[in-house]
Amino acid sequence: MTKHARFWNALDLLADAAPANMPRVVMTGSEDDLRTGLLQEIDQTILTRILSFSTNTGTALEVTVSSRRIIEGASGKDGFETLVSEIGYLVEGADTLFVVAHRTAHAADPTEPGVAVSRLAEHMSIDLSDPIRAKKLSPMDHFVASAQPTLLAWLVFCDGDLSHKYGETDPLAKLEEVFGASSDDIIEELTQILQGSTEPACLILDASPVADSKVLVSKIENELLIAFVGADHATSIASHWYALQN
Amino acid sequence: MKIVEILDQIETAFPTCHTIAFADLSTKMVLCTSSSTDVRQEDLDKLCTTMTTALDGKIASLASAEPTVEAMVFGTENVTVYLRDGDELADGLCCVCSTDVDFGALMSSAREALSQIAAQP
Repeated sequence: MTKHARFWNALDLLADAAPANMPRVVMTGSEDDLRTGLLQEIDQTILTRILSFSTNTGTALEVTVSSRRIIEGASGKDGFETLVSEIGYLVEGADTLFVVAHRTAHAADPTEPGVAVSRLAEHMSIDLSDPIRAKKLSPMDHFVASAQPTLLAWLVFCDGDLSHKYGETDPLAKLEEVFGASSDDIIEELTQILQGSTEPACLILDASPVADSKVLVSKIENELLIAFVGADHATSIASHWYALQN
Repeated sequence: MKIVEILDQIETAFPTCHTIAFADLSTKMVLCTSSSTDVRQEDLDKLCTTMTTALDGKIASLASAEPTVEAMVFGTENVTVYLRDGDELADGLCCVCSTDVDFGALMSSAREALSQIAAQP
């Protein structure tokens, strides 16, 4: 095996060590922030991977990426303009961008030029070295991202104000209707249940206004999460919670 | 089987479960405990108040008009489980365990224990 091949092999092994199929928060913020986060994610993808992006509004975009190029997108191989508009549609009205990376069954065709991320960045007037990438995600962002597959809908409040929400239309509407105006009361009661402790905590109730779900309430630092979680996922939530705490 | 023996069974099965308490939720009184450590009465009183808040408080009442029968709290050092019998609504069981407890198995055992207690004459 050549030195070059060993390098690529090591990169592949490292990539395989990352948690599989777990949505990761790429970026929170404005549409421009999300667009920048998306291009930076692609810019950091050297190996051939399928990147499945999604947002808190429910939009999604899947692209195959290799060596900082999009070699296959929702728009086909050469649809640069379509790709630009697909990215615009993805982030429209959203404030949180998630990604899941999958390996591909076949290696990238080295003769396929694809769309270089630098070309997209230039077209969108995005600086790929923008330090926005360093924006620190909150512990609640990490918890929500790791628990996301088990959550039907959620609201996150920061210092008492709704900071973001996500979910299927009906559960999300119910969540807002039932709990949306009670975040202060919920924080107060959760503090009582924790006997005054300000440590992070997560409460799950086996009761919910939505069928086959439970209510989850969590506070971490100055953020409050109120969510509907699938009825069978309490154990899974416990695993996500303690994985993050550790 | 006496109530304390039922609680002891949980403690034996889950050594990291350090306090198990059976309470009357209507009077907010702990009636029986099994604990590997000395627990002061005031701490048991607090535990009982917390249990009624978790099961009968505002969050529970917003979540459902029906009585809430299970609540669980994941903290940084403990997992606390609060259960209420679905028929005997005043019967409550609380288990405080360290975070490495087998959570799924604990829930099953706690539900079974509460059923046994509720079935007592």
